[in-house]
This record gives sequence, structure tokens and C-alpha cells, in this order.
Amino acid sequence: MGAAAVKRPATEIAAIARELLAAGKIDLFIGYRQTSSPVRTTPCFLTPHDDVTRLVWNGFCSNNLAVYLTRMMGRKRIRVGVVAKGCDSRSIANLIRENQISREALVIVGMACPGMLDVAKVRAKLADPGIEKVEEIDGQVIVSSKGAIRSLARTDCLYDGCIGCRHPTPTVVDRLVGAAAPDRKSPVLDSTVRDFLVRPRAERWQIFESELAKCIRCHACRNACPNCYCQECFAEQTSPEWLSASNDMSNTLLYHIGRILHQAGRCVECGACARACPANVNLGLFTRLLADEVRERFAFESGISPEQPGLLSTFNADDRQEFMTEPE
Amino acid sequence: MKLELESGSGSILRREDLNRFLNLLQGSNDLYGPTRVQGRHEIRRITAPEQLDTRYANLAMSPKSLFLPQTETLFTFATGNRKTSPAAARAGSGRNILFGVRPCDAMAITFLDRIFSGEDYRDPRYAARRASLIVITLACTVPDPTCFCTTVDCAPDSEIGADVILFELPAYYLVKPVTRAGRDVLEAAASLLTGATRNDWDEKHRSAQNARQSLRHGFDPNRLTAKLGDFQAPYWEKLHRECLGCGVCTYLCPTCYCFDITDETIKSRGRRIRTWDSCMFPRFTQHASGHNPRPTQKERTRQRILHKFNYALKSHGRKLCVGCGRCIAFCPVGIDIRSVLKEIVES
Amino acid sequence: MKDPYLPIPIRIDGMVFENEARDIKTFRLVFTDEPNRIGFSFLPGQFAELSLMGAGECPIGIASSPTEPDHLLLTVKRAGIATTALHRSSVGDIIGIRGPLGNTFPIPAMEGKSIVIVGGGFAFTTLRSMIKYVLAENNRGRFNDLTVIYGARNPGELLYKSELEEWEGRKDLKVLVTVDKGDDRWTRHIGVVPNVLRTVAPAAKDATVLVCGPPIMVRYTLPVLADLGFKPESIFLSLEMRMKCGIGQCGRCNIGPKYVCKDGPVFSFAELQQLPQEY
Repeated sequence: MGAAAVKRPATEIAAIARELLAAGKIDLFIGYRQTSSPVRTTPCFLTPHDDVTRLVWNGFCSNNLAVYLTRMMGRKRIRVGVVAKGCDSRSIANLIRENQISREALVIVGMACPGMLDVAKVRAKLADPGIEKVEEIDGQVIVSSKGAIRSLARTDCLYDGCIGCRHPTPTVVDRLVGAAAPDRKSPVLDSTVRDFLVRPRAERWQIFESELAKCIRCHACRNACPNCYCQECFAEQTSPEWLSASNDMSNTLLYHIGRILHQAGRCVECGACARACPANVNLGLFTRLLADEVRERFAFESGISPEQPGLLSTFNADDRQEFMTEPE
Repeated sequence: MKLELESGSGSILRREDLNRFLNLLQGSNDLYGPTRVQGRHEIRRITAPEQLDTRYANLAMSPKSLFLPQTETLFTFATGNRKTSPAAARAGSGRNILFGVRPCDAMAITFLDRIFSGEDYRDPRYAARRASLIVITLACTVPDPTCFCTTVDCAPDSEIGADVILFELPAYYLVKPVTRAGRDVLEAAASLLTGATRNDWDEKHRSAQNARQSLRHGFDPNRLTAKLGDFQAPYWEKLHRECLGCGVCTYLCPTCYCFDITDETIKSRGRRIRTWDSCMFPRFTQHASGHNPRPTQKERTRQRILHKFNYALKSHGRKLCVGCGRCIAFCPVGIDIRSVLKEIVES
Repeated sequence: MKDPYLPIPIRIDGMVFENEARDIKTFRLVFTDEPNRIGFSFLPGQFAELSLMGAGECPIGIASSPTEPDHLLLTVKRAGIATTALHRSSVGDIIGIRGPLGNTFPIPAMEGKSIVIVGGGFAFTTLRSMIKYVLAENNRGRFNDLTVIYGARNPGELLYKSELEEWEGRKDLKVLVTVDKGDDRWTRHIGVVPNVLRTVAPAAKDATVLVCGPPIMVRYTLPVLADLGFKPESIFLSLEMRMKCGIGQCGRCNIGPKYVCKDGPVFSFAELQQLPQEY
């Protein structure tokens, strides 16, 4: 039994990709490969005859690959194999439910996710921000930086959004890599959200505005989000022209409020928007607040299964409505 | 003391005198400099000495927004009587100081000059802002892994675009005026400057050489031009796949300048604004008829790469890239332009 | 240097529908200030950005010739926000204009030679400017034969109908108006423009060709011109692109290293063959 050691996840992913591509079960496999930086991966697109050994799996595989599925599968009838973490799989469930992609044309290689590492947090713990090598072993992140080696606790380096993750194991999956971890029923809110909620309303608005003042209207948040697949985004409509391209506060507010509200019942809190933002806007705060609101008011979790009805497309006679009849 | 303009001279400024130095240069004008904002370094108006923080390889956002803001009013109008009132081009009040620009970003400003302050057309808003800022470049000592300035004809100690350049040495700065305006403004701080020696310059050259050697090319620039001649090359099919078309690369790039012009109105008043735009956005080239010469990410990615590394060479004699590496560091999906270009060169 | 983004005021002096579908209108524009009129010095082929405050701008080819000095004629198809606002304007309204922009038809190179003009549909606008320019009394002697072949999908879509009739009656040019499909009142030619061109077979020697039309017409016209012996250097086209600044700054109208608003919109076919086929 000793020789049949536990395969490294990357090797297992590569084997699955090789098998699926060789057998003609898929036309395209989407996973992760390393860049020239030890703390950065990039999406890896493989067609038959491409080298599957480039595929990796580590704490820097944060991108939500579901974002490619609507583009890849939307009009073409191609079959895709895709690596999906817990949050990614919930995005996929939503896309299937919303009729954007076909379940039958997908092979979902699910990863039991230990949470993704926030490079900024890692760097903050080092004397020198230059990182030469990273290894993840037994809950520790071992970083080599300028000759010095530091061992950091993995849990200290997770993205804020990953800390409170309720569904680390993919909800819709064909092949699971790694041991399934149980869902967390008692959510752990990260300190930023907790801290925000106890503040008085005027202060909360001020925080909201000061975050959005940094926005440069690049819309990377939208482009990184698997749920934002509209052919014509409301932000770009000219008739009616809901908002202009300028980054003054009224337009920026309308864009972000509009986008976040369009995520109600759909956002899976994957954090792709927050990570994509080049201007350091704390978008994770807003998405997690929204998801919390949805949970509290409707006892609803997004993306649990493709058969689950959409939040805003169902109606119950006893739905809470005091926020309409008795607004604060 | 008289400050010489010839190369090889220059002055010494003690590190602890930097704040006083900048205050003397600023005089009664404004000082824009690097400060730490939520873990990143940005240019802000400096009003207190403790704000200044030079511990960075490069600023997160390029300083181009000081010259080309994300939103700019071209003019205002009233639709009722159809009167146009040009927004007063913000006349540069005095000479403000912009400190902390790296050589790559300073060179990028000279590229923007050719577009917005060129021979054929001059944008008075850009020109006014440009005239009101003295650029003090802070040369590099330790590049980031994402830097590749030397691959695109820039350097950690390039003086292009600077009015004054500061070279950082262990115990002090080596200060050198580059333009007449720079030399004039340095007079105000003459009391803090002492003459530099041959040894000081030798040390500067050694430091610059170290910085150069730590830069990785990533691709062979000499073979790139020939390779980029093929518009229909097969590699274009694959190079765009990861790209989300989000525009972060273009918004953060110090040499990207494409913009949109639209009107905003409230009732009968309005303004015409210029806002940042990106060739990576689908609507960039979409005709009113619906026809789009660049309908998919493939054409748009090809346009970006060819514009920067091929077309600009033909129109301006230069690649439209200074190797600052922001597109690499901030791409949400980790696309590295050096790898992309390497794949093209080796195809 | 003056601000290149500031439009100058110009008054709508008149407007007429050109086509039965009533989505193409010709605007007669008159400058409000005489110095502006004098300063607006243009040649056939150029365009201007018309400015509708609140709606935006649209790049429109100048259909009048500089030999019609008191006014400008611009023919506008209703397509987007700015053109719709323009179509909804009234006579007497003051709009804005920036220009003249772009390059011109290669007039000096055309002198002493024959001119063949091949136009299709709505793209005929700047060709009208060229024809009026050549026909002007002071100019006619500088050019040899002028042949005009102009076609539209159906009779209702023809622009400048009364002028076409007038030209057909003149001796100093040859005009052939054709439609793809006639109606019961149509008495002239029926046939697509490339076929008519082949039949007319204008001489290629010492001649310049100006071609403006929808992409499909251009695609089928070019091989006919090649068969007739026209060299790429003597064939000129006027291209359309999405434009904003009109002065080569905003970056969006490029074809390879050339900007359609600045290096064009007039390009020789020889030039276009060197550029990426991305338009």
C-alpha cells in the first residue's frame, strides 16, 4: 500500500485531463499553470496534444475559471473540462441554472479547496517583499525570500473572503480531487464585515463612498465575474443611458450599486471581483454583505445545485417584505 | 553655488534632507509625491513631511492621471440656447513639483507629449498641466520581478522625461539637473547641495549596473519586430484566450492614452467629457450600424500588441511600452506580456 | 493653437430628405460668423464632426464643394444617438462643427487626367463634392473626361436625384445612374454597379478612379477595375470607421499604423493592400 502514495493533486488533475482529452470526451480543458512568479498562476487552456504536465494546483489558484465557460461554450458546441473550487462550482451551478451553459457538455474536476492565499498578506509578514519560492506543507506556507526561509500558518494568509468559506467542497462535480470537507453551517464572518456592520449608518455610507472614490471605472470586477455575462451591460447602454463613463461619484455609485444588486441571490462570494480590482476597492466587503443579507432575509445560498430555483425568480407568499413597507 | 548642467557634475543631497529639499523646491506651489495608501504607493499632494514614502519599486498607478485624468471636462454647454462655454483649461498656477516618478514613467510622459502636445494638434488642458509640473525622477536601484525596462529601450537610470533626476545611493542622493527648468528650480535648494565627485558617479554607475543586471528580458526584442509583421499568424488564435477584456492593462499602462468623448446632461445643462477608453473593450471600434472590425477578443488582443510593438514603431519610431510591468502585476488572470511576446518570437 | 475639441457654431439653414425610407437627410449649414466661414477651407474628400450638444458628435463627409462657398451640405444617415438628434433638429437650430478633418481626394495628382467616379448608395456624399468641384467653371479645364457611375439598391435610395438629372443633361461629363432593382416608374439603367462599370469600360490610361460604396460593392468593383487595367496606385477609396476625436488622438480609428481620421479617409488601393484587412 506504501507505493500507492497519495497523488499530488496536480498530478491527478493532469491525469484526468489527459484521459478526457485522449478519449475525446472533451475538446478543451481549463485548469491553472504557473507563471514566472511563484505566487501567481494563470488559466491554462489545453486542447488534445497539449502538454498536460503544465497543470498545477496550489494556494495561488484563485481565479474563478467559470468566467470562461460562457464565452467558450456559449455559441460553440464544444465540450469543456474545467477545474473548479467550491466557489467556482457554485458559479457553474448558477450558469447552468440560468441556461448559459449545458451540464452535459461539461466535465467538472472539483477541488476540495483549503482556501486561497492572499499574496499581500504573505508579503506583509516578510522582511523583504521579494519571494523566490513557496511550498505548502501541512498547513504551513514555507516562503523563501532573499535567502531567508519563513514558515507561516496557512490560516493567517488566506484571502478575507476565503476565511468564512461555507462551501469549500464543490457542490456540482464530476470528478473530485482531494477529500471532501464538510460544509460549514455556522459561518465565520471576517472581521471587516463584522466591523462594518456595527458602525452607524452615516459612517457606513462614508466608508462605501471612500472606497468607491478609488474606482477608475475599468469594469475589471464585472469582467472577472462569471455571473456578468450580459452581452450588453447596463453600464454601457446608450439608450437609455443609465450612467456615463466618468468616474465622478454619482456614476461610480450607480455602476457599483447596480452591479452588486444584479448579483443578489447569484453571487457566490468567490472574490474574483475584489482580486481583479487594480485600484484596491474593497469590493469583497460589498459582495459579502449582500450575500449575508440574502441569507438572512431569504435563507438562501447561491449555487448549491443547478436545479435550485433562482432567488429573484421565485416568490413565496410569506416572503419578508418589511424592508419595503417599513424602510429604516 | 552655481549648478553645472554638464553631465558628470551634479550634487550630493543627504538622505535626511530630502523633505527639506522638496519643500525648498516647492516654494509656494504644490508638491506631489509618493505616499503609502492602504499598503500601496501612490502619488498624492504632500502636505506634511511624514507622508513622503519612497520605499517602493514603483507606484501602483502610473502618474499619467496627473496629465490625463480619467475624466476631463472639455467644455460645458447649455442645450436651451445652444451656447458653448469652454471649460477654462486649468491654467498651470506656478511650477508644482512632481517627485518620485520612476524613469519608466518619466519616459512614458514624453510619449504622451507627442500625442497631446505635438506638432499638429495641441490639447490646451494637457499642455497647461504639463507646463505646471516639474518632473523629479527617482532612479531605480531594485527593480521588481515584473520590470523589464531595458528590454524596451528604457533603463533604471534613464534621464528621459526628467527635469531633475535623483540617484539613490546608500548614504545620500546624487542630484542632477536634466533640463533648464530643472536647473532653475534647483537653485532654490542650493543650500542643501554639495558638489559631487568622480567617486560618487562611479558608485551611481555601479548601482545602475546592478539594477540592469537584475532585470530579466523575457523575450528577444531584436527578433520581435520581424515576427510581428504577420497579421494572420496562427498564434493570434491562442494568445487571447485567457484575456478577460477587462482593460486593467490599458488603464494602468503609462503609455496607453486612448479615450472616449461623450456628453453628459442634466436637464438643459451639460458638459462634453473625455474619459479613458480601451482597445480591449468591445465597443471601442463598433460602428453605429453594428459592424465591428474587431468583433472578438482575438482581434482586440492582436490590436493591443501590434499597436504597442509594431504600429507605434512605424508612426513614432518607438515601441509604445516602457517596461514598467504594471500590466503583468495587475492582470487579474496573470497574463505576462513578456511570455506572450516570447511565444510570438519563438513561433 | 486653438482648442481642437471646441466646435464652432453653425446654423441649420435647410434640410431635405434624400430617400424614401426617410432616414437620410441633407443639411444645409451656414456659419453664424463670417470669419468662421472663411476659415473653414476644405477640399473634396474631407469630413467634419457635427456636434449636437447633449447627444455627441458624428463624423460626416462634406457633400458640398468649396466652389459652393456660402453654405455647407452634409448628408446624414440616422444611425446612432448623435445622428438621431440631428435628424430631430429644426431649421434655425444652431449646432456645432469641427473641421475640416481628414485628407482630400488626390486632386493635384488628378489634374490633366480623366476621372472615373464609382459610387454606391449612401457613400456617394463626398463624391458629389468632387463632381461639383470638377464641374465648376474655373476647374473644369484642369481635368479631362469625367465619368460617373452611381447606383443604389432601388430608385428611392438614390441621393441628389434632381442633381443627377441635371448632370445627365450636361455635355462635360458622362453619368450613368443605375439601380439593383427598379420600380414601375424607373426608366433608366438596371444592374449592379460593378456590372455597369464593366459595360461602360472607361479607359484606364491616364485616369484616376474614386470608389465609394458599401463594402460588398467595393469588393466586386475592385476586380473589374483590375481587369480594365487600372493600377492600385490610381484607385482611391474613402473608408468609414468609428471616430471620436477626428484628429488622430483618441486611438480608435486605426487600420494598422494609419488613422482613418487623419491619414484618411481617402486611401489609395495600393496603400490599403499594405495595411491589415481590419475594417
